[in-house]
Parts: sequence; structure tokens; C-alpha cells
Amino acid sequence: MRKTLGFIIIFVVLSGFGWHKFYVSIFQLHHSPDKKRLEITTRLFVDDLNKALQDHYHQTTHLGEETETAADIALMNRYLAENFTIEVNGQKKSFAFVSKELDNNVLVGYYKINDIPKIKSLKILNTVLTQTYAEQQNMIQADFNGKKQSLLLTAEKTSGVLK
Amino acid sequence: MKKHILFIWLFIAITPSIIAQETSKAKEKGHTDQNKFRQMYDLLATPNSYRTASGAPGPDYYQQQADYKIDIELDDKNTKLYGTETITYTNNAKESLDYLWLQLDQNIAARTSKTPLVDNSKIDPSISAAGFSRKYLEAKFDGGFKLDYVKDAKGNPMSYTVNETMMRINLDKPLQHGEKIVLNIKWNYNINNYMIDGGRSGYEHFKDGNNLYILAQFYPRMAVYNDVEGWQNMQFWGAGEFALTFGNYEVNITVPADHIMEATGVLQNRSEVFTPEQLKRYNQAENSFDKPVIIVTQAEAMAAEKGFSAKKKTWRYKAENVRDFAISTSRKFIMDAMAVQFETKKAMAISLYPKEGNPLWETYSTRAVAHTLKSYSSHTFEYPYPKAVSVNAQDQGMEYPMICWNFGRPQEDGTYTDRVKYGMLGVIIHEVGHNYFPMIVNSDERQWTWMDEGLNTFLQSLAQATFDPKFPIDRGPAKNIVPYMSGDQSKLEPIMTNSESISQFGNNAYGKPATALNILRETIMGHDLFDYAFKTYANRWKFKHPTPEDFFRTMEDASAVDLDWFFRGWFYTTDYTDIGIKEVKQFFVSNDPPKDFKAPEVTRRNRLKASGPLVYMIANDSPDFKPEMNKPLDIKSVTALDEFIQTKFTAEEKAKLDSPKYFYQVTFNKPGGLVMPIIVELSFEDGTSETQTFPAQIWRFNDAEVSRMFATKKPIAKITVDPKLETADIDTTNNVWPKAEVKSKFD
Repeated sequence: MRKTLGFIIIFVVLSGFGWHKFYVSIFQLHHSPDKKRLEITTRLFVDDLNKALQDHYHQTTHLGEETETAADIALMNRYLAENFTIEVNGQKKSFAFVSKELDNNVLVGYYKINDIPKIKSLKILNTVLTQTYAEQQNMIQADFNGKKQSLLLTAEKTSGVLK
Repeated sequence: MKKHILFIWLFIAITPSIIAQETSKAKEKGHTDQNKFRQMYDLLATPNSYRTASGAPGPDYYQQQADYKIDIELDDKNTKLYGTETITYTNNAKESLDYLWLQLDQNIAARTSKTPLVDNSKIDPSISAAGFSRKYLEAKFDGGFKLDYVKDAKGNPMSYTVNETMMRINLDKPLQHGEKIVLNIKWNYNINNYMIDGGRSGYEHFKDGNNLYILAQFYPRMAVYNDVEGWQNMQFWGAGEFALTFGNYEVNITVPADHIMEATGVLQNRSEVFTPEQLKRYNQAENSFDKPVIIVTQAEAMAAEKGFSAKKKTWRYKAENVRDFAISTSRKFIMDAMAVQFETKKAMAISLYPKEGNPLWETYSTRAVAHTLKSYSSHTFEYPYPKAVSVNAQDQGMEYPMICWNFGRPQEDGTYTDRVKYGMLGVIIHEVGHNYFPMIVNSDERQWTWMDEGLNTFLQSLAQATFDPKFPIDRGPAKNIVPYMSGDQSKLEPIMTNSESISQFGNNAYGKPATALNILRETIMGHDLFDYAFKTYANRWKFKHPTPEDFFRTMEDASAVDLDWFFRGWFYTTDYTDIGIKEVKQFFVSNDPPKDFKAPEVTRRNRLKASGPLVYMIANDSPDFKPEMNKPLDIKSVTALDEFIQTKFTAEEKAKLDSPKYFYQVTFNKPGGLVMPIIVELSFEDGTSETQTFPAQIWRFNDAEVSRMFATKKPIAKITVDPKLETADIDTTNNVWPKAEVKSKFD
């Protein structure tokens, strides 16, 4: 059913809209050669994130609310680790959670991968929210070796390589 | 005084170029005027008697008229629509027309449509069985108009040619200026389930067997003919919406007798289609200005949705001076309404929704419609139509005159998150707002999406902020456009790009122009100048067809703010804002000349600055700087200055003199291509601060780097460029002096 929905969405996107629903998340990847690390900023609608965690783990979370718990954050990080994988120079790397903050209704998360002196290639696999919202778009904006590049990942195209 | 400043400017401006000429050896090529402040003669169409240089319609401005009488019947069982129409078309152009073009928008869903063929497609590595079946096995939806006939006023068949979504009527003799022609057309089409086949109209099918119809582009419509495009007959590929002629409509719509309907225009036979009880409630709503009155209750709707009546009813509507007509009908509909009072007239705010939309819809929809009309009217003109209707249609957000489709439903248990609530409110405000742009200020959407979406998204952000102070506003605030404008340039287009060739539609055609207008209002022009000019544009072009030039010119003509640089940068390029602080030097006033100082020769030009006793400005990084200089200016200790003041001014005059103590020279650089004002916040050591703004024109002689001096009474601890993030500066790490240890979010 979900895949079918995915199909519909391609069509809907193709036929356009008077109003664009904002099912877009942004993942910014910045390489700092000085600090030899890859810095990752995630920008996700907090409502969508809570819904995805509910769908995925059947647990009610309160991210972005006063009642948010440490367990909610841990679950979010588990969800991201399971749905957002990064291969640096052909090697899968896990990222460490640094902090998060709320900007309007967007949850901004900061993560890092240490010990990355140089990047030759980045392979991104991203299924964040795509099973909750078939029309979800994940915009990957990478910035390494002095070059900005982007990738648009969706339920249909879940991975891509940047060089 | 002004003369002197001018002299200094000339001096500064000319000197570096002389030096450059003396030192450079390789011969350089010349260039045309590349100044960012050059006027837009290279970009804008030449003004003429149709459209003036002031941005107003000219003395020869004209527009065509298309009046419609339409009868349609809905076959609910087979989801099919049958129609006949009589179009009366008036040629108001001075030239005669050899042929007429009509739009057959439904043909985008025909099996022969070329729309699916212009998209990239790749094999999916994995695909659901249902998806595979749909993609490779099942017959495609059989959409598109099936034309029965096209006849003239006397009933004789007319010659016509269909080219995809456009139809040419081949006239026997040209239609002269001022002449009318009558076309009679009969057609039918299969209505699409938009949840499966997509589209801006169609129906949603519910588990209970009912359909909720949102009918639009349901009849052959006249294309626009005007002084800019000739016939606007660019095919309907899907992204570029509509260009439509104004006219008057009489539409009779026959549907199952248990349906509840709303449509463009004024219902002519309410007593035939409402129960006496509903009629009474409607009359109450007409006088309820503070809250909606339920006209068709949820209980009535739930009873009706089980009925599947075989009887029919005809709803009769008349609409004046509209560019289009749309209908929503279903037996599932609940209806509520309230009245909205404007200065000289009132209008109705109405909502239609199935029970699946409650409790969200009965709580918010009609109130949001009423608020939108008031907010938008205050920025443009009094809402001229008799009503505005918001219809709850899953996954839709689409506008038509007086009626629009809006998404947003709670969970099955009636609960909803803030995101769902604000999403629904946002889309209602947006689509109702489209009544102003492009329904009334009727721009060409097929060509320029931003002209209605950008202006509308801007007004939407103002209406949202006044509806609820906690409303999360995604598009409008400058900082929210930064992720888009700082992105990979290969994925960006200027706003001035045709609707079909925009890769990030939402950011390019909605977000960026809304942000640009917000910046104009908040930062460049101020509310008074902006609001007057924006209102002038709306009033000049209401019930007319404006172009981008008409907008750009009016904004400048009505405000005396030169905006060519702003429109050129923000609308015609993909440049972004990035202004930084390159260097700050502190200077100290000294009696003693620096080593190797040679007094400048006094000339007629510099005599005021360079003659007589001199005082010297020593920079903190110069070899002449001594640690003991590092103190606030005390005039008494600078003999030449002290003597000058003592002899020149009386005690009374001395009391009025300013008393700066600290002197700084700040050099700003501009890695970004956009010119923008430099907004500088000076934070003093005592914790106070002041903000100074230098107009964008400060960049006119040097697009890379400019300097300013600041003479202050208190020592500066920190300087910040764009402290309130109002210019969409994409890199704020260079905005602060002393270079803040940018606290990395990742340490």
C-alpha cells in the first residue's frame, strides 16, 4: 500500500499543486579538515519525527514538548542510525549525537563523525520518514573539499553517492 | 556641505583607478556597464501605451471578455461529467483575430497526453506488487475531454483543431475589434480519482461508497489573448497553472438530490435545494459576524451519506467578473458559514467538509476564511466577491474564484497534532488568499508562478502572524530561505524562470519571492512606503492582467525607492547575500605626526581638510602607535585641536559640540553576489548598543569591499552585521568582530 502511495505521489508531484506541503527534511553534511570530522545537521519537522517513532517502534514520544524524556531522544537517535547511514570513502561510519534544539517546529539535531581527515566519497542511504510519508523528500546538502553538492532522496530513490 | 562630500567622493572614486592604470602592464579589455545599480533597461520590456513606464495600465490597455452559460450533469455512479456550454467571446483588441484558442485542460489526463513522456524514468530496484501492476500491467486512466460538437450561434458545426491541451477554432472570417462570437460546445469526460491519478480536481472515494467531488477545469475555457503574449497557448504540462479571461457565468449543475454543493458565484435557487430548516440557519449565518453557524449538520450529513438517492436536483449559480468556475459536491458535506463585514459591504465565509474533517474543521475553517479576507483586504482592496468557500479535500491545496480545496484531517479518533492543525490553517489562509492573487489581480500563472504564489505566500505570512502569534511561519522570514539560497547552484534558478522549468517549486516560486517582499517591507522600504506601493499595484491591476514589469515598476514608481538593484539581484539571478566584517582598526588622535609624514600639498580641493595646524590619526596597528595612546580622546591633550576650538567657538557653541572619544574604521567585505544594506550593531563595553544602517547603495563604487568610520563616546566591545538576521545572509560566521570563537555546535 505504501509503495502504491509512493506512485501516486510521483504523479501528484508531477501534476503540481497550488500549495506545496512541506514534507522536506534537510541533512547538512559539512567536513571540517581542521577538526578532521564530518559535522551533520539534521532538520526534521518534530511532529513528523514523533509520528515516525510511533509507526516504527509503537512508542509514544514527546520530542519538542515539555514532557520530552531522555528515552525519547535515545529513540530518535536509534531511528536515525537505522534510517540514515553514511559511508565515508567506502566505509560505513556511525555518527555520535552532540545536541539538539527546536527551531519553530523543526527539530535541529547535531551529530558528528570524528577522525575523518579527508573525504573522497560519501555514500548516503536515507529512509528517514519515507515510510511514514510516502511523499517525504530528504534533501542532502554536502560541503566538502570546498565544493557544495546536493542530493534529493525520496521513497523511490533512497541512496546516492557524492564525490 | 554637500559639495564637500561630493569632492571627497570623487577623490576616492578616481584615485584607485588612476593607480591601477599606472601599475598594470597587460592590456585589459573594456566592458559594458556591470554596475549592480544600473537600471533595468536590459531586462524589462519597453513601456508602451498598453502598459506604462509607471507600472499602470496605459491608455490603450484592453482585455478580452468571455461569458459562459454552462449546463452540466454529474453521473455519480460512473464518475462521469456531461456538459454543454455557450461561450460569448468579445474581441476588445484593436486588431482582428483569425482564430480563437480554447484550453482543454482535462487532456493532460488523456491516454495520449505527452505530460508523462517528458519525465525521466528509471527502473525501480524494488517495487510493490501493486505498484508493478499499476505501472506495467493495468490500463491507464481514460481521461480527457470527449468533444461531441463545436457549433456556431446558428447551430452550424465549426471547424476546429485539437493540439493536446489546446483547441483552435478556425474562423471563416476574422473576428473584428468590438465584435462578439458565440460558440456552442458539448462534451463529457471521465472524472479522475485524484488520490490515484493525481490532478487539481477530481474526486476522493470513501470506504462508505461516497465520492467527494472537487470539479475544476471541467469545461473548455477561453485562452487569454493580450498585448504581451498574443494567445497564451503554451500547453498545460502540469506545473504552470492557468491564464484565464474574465467574464460572467451562469452555471446549472445537476447532481444527485441528496448532495450538498458549493460553487463559484451566487446560488440562485437556495430554497429549492435546502430544507426549510437549513434555509433558516443560512439566514442566521448571514447575520452572524462573530462565529460560524452550522447550516448542514453532521447528523444530516451522516444520514445523507447512506442514501444514494436516484433523484436529481439542479443548483443554479451566477457569477460576475470571475476568471474561472469551480464546484464541490457530495452527500457527505457538513456546511457552516458566517458573515464578514468590510467597510462598505459584507461577504460570507463558508466551509464544506465531511465528518472525517471534524472536530478540526468546524472549529477552525470558517474562522480562518473570515480572518484571511480581513487581513488580505487591509493590504490590497476590499474583497469584491460575495463569498469565499473552503472545502476539505484530502491532499489538495488548490484555488478557484470564491472557492478552494484544502487538505488537513484529524486521526480517526479525532485527535490531531499541531502540525496537522497549522498545516490545515496554513493551506486555508493560502488558498483563500489566492482570491486576491491571481483570481482578481489576474497574472499569467502559465508563465510566472511567482507572481501569484510569491505575492500570496507573502500576504499569507502576514495573515498567519495575526491569526495566531504562535503560528509557525515557514516562508517569509529571511533566515528561513538561507538553506535554499545557499544550496548547490546547479539546482537553483532565478525567480524569473518559466513555471515549467523550476526544480524546487516551493522554494523558488513561493518561498524566495515571499522572502524578498518581506525584506522589502521590513528592511529596505519600511511599512509605509511598501504598503502604499503594494496597495497601488493591487488596485491598479485588480480585474486586469499584470506582468512582472508592471509589479516592479509600480513598487518603485509609487515609493521613490530605487529598486532596480533589488529586483535584478533577487528576481533575475541566483545570487545570495553574504556580507562580513573584514577588518576593524581603532585610531587615536595625536599631536605628533607619524614618522616620514609629509604634509599634503594644499590645493583648492583639499584646503579645508589639509591646511592649517594638523592633528594625526594613528592606527592601533601602525609603528607609530604607542601603548600610552590607548585612551579615550581628551581634546585638552591635543594642542592643535584644543587651540582651534578655544579660538573658534564661544562658550555657548562649545557646549553644543559633539564629544566622540573612540575612533574605529571598519572594512566590510561581500563574498555574496547580492547587494544589500549593511546593518551594523555596535555593542559597547557598558552593555548598551546601537544599530546603524547603510543603504545598499554603499556598494555602488566597489562591489567587493567598503569601509566606514565610527566615532563613538563609548568603547566598542563587539560589532555585528545583520544582528536580527533580516537579510538572508547565508554565512553569519564572518558577521562578528572580534571574530567570535565560533562556538561550534559540534564540540
